[in-house]
Amino acid sequence: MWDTFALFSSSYLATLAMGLVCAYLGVFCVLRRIVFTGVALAQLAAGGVAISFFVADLGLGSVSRFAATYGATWGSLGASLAGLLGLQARRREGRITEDALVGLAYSAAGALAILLVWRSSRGLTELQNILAGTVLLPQQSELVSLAIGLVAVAVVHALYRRELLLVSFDPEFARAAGLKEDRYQLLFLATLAVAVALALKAGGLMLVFAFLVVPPLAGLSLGDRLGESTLYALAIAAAGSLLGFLCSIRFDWPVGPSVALCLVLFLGVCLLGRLNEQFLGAARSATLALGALALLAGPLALLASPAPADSVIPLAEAAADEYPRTSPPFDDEDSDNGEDHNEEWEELLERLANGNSAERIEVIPELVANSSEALEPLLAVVLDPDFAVRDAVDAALAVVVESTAADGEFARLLSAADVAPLERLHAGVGATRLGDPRGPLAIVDVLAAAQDELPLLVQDDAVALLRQLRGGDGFGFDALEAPAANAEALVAWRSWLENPASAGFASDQSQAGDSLAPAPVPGAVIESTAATPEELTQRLLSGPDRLGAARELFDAGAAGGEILELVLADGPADAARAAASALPITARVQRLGDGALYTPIRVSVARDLLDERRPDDVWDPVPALNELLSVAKPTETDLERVLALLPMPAARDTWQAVAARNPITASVLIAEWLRSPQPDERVSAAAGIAALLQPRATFETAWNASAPGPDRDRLLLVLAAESGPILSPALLMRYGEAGPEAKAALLRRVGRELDADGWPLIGLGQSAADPEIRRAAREALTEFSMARAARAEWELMQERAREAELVEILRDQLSQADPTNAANAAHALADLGVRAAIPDLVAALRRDDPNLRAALRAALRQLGQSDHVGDEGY
Amino acid sequence: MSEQSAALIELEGARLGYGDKAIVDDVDLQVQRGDFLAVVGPNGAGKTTLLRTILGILQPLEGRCARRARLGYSPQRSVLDPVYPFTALEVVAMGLMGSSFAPPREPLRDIRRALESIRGNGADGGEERVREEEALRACGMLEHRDRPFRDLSGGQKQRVLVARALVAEPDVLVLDEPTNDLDLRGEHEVMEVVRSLHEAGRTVIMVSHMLHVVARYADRLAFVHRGKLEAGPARDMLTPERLAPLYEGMPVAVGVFDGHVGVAPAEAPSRGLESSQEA
Repeated sequence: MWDTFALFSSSYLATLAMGLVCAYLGVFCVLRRIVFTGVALAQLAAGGVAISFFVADLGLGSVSRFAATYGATWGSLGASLAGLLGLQARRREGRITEDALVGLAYSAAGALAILLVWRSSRGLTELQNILAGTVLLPQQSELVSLAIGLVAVAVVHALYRRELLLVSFDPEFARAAGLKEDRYQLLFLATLAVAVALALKAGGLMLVFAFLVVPPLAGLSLGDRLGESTLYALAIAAAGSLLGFLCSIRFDWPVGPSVALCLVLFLGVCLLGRLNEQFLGAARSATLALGALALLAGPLALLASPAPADSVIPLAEAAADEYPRTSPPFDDEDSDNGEDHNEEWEELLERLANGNSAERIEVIPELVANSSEALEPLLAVVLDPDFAVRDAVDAALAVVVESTAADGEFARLLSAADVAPLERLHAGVGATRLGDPRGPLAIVDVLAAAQDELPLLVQDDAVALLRQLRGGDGFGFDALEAPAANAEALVAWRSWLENPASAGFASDQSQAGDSLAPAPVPGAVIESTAATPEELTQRLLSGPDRLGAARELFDAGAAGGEILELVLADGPADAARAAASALPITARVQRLGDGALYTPIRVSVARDLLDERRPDDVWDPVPALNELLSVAKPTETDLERVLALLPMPAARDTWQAVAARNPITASVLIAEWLRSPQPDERVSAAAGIAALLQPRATFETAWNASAPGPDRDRLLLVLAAESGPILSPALLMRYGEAGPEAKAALLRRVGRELDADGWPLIGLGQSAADPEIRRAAREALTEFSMARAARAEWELMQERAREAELVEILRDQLSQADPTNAANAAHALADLGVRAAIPDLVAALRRDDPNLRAALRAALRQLGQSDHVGDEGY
Repeated sequence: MSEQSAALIELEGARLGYGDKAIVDDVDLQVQRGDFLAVVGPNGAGKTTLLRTILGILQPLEGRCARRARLGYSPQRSVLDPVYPFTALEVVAMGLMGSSFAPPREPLRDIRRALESIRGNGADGGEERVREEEALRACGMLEHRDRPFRDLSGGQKQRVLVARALVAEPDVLVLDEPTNDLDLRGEHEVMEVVRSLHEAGRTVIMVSHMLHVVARYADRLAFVHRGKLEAGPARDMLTPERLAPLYEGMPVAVGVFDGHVGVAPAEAPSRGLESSQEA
């Protein structure tokens, strides 16, 4: 949590600064009873931001570019100051009351803001962020303008506090004392407008409003005097920022509402404080202490936060320690001896990780050739859902551990404390199946140390293996129970395993060791226990080993299936979850999709399902994903589960949901992924950016998190290919820093999207030294000209279609009864030069009407058919 | 002429009002050192406009208004929002602002003061603190210096406001309706403070519509009525003939009650509101 806090230290500082300034000004606003003026100024500022987005989208060349770069800050400042002048001007007039005018400004600015950006996808999301209050890694330039503005406001108030207080409290007296009262009023409102506009840009409307109102109220209720009250208000603003920020990180809440809520809680405590003198004293001291702590936390976090380019590394490491991947961990160690890896080896690993069962079985024997490095990839798939794959793994492992290097590594994985729990469990399972006595001990140790961190079904698999050693008795270990409840069982296991006299393992081991036979599948053992359905039901309902009982019931056929159904429908949550785990995957997916499972177990079923999933599985993970995303408080592991499915097109929507719910977590994970040595994960991260709700902010985060050079190029490459138009301006801005390949990709994107903003880049690209870039520029140019030609042709066709329609109507008119109409049609056809109508004209000459005949002859003459004109005398 | 030029405040042919709207026209008024001038008139007649012109908040539309003195102003209590948590002392301290006694500008002074007040040692405020406490003492409010202004009674608030007007040592005290909405005791305490200040040599200009108060303390009266101002010695002005037009012709009786001049409606035209007021 501290690491995350350090990563967001600049965000925190921004929140803290705006909180202090807004709270200070809020004391004035509350006392002057103009709180809503502050809010209206903020809404006006939001309107200003919207105007800047609108102008940026107009395509007005340099004006739009300026608006896109600096518009938001200047727009919000400008609109807010303009609004204040409007409000100030009113003071002289007096037909409209001030609060009505404030309401007018609020509603007009609000409506205008939304309508202006309605057609702009970028603007709308950013505006929504502003209104909803998401403080997420503000950009450096924003922080600077925020700092400058807020310091200016603070200086003005430090110098003129007494004057500003006097003109607030008693303006008439101030004027009688010779102060320029109206100038001070303007000065106060100007500081308010500046602070609100900048704070709005950084923290959003909700946060500004909360800071303007809540800390001052709390301060005024705590303090008896104005000075004291102001100090308490500042302390509460700081403390609320810190607490809200920590909550936001801990519970993955958006920052704005989280801080606002903490402020309100503080206010509640302060109001309670007024009830009792003693409590009041305590509340005062606590407020000041918390405020001081919050003030200190900012600089401390800033010191603790590493330089931007590296900031994600410790985080990524911490995350890797805490959350073992459920997918095969080909982790950083690959890169240590990367030189030895030829592409073939990489490809083998890739196929092992992402291929289907047949491919995996095919790949496994090939890995053995490189025994010193095959151990980890093999262990990663030791619990493969496909038993055929397990057999292949066992056979391969037996060969691999012959090599001394691999054996040493094996020993390390089995016993070292710093091995991730999942890896150690895999090693333990592998060793057990090889008949190595260290294996079961490793499994028991890992379960005792870190049961919580292991996926449920992995635990179950491992324990099933242990049970086989004792002919099916598991000492009552139940993966569904909390670690504390299993402690006893694990102690029993351990003492049984460590006692060489105890019947089971030693002999088992010698047998297994001799034959190197793969372990029998669990089903075989279950048959030997031959429990009655009643016993099984009892075990399913109250343990031990609910999962085993469920599986046995399922294997027992129709009667067992019925019991499972009953438990699923009405049983206690743990039993129902166990019952669900015995069902085939497709049945579980379908039940999730149908909403057939009752609420408490839905999420756990979804989690189990996703943990079991392999990349080549064809079942639809979306119901399970949706289930996880509907959780009010998804865990980090849940997010990992969701993110693991990212490359699936169907899962794209879920990204939106992740981002909406946990913007901070999502961007932290993306940043972590970008540092991953695995190309796949980097690509996923980039695709994640493309799908996120705040693609631009996340892109900036990712950009800052990745090192200049190949990493950034890769980011650009993927995003140029994958992302939607929202990211275009941000991507094109990086053109200058891109490598040749990325430049070419950006140019192709310009061509593909017919993005007019990228037009100047095509010119640049055409004169580039790199032939690839020049080719890309030419291609983009071609796209543009083809588009232009296509458009021209289309317009021509439209024109022709219209003419053809007209000609049809005119020709039809020629045969109409009314000779005047027919004559007009003849003239028109001649004027249009429709030679195709000549036969119709000639045919019409048979009609009697002389006027018509004259018209027809004139028309024919005009069309150059004078030979028909000769029949004049006829 | 020489006496006239010594007048502390002098209005000559002045037309008073806002924008292009005159409220009182053709005003000639001199306030001499040591005067106790009461400005009387029905609501809306322009008393406050006159006061604001005298204070320099408003410029006369025509004519001139000369001030040859420092003025100390006490506004109507009702315009002050009770939501501000100022102490009596802090309110008085405001009176120094804009005067030559104002303390030097010190950016973090208030934070220092706030910290001091939380720690409970109200360290000395220097020269200006002495001045503030002196003003409070002169108004009999010294023992209330640290109480919140908003918690004081009406009469006490008014005395704090008089102290604020007094703190920058003005030559002339300008009081706007100091006895409005006060009970008899509050009114008495405020007016005794004002009288003691007057007797100590301060010139007083006071706006009021309470004739009985004015009759008791003021030595000069100015009637503002129907856009005109009439001024004169109190005893000349307090006659039924001059008072009656002020109240739309309602007959007014002037008599002596307990050694003081008293003013009351001469007779109740009906047994309505007026009679119940008498009771």
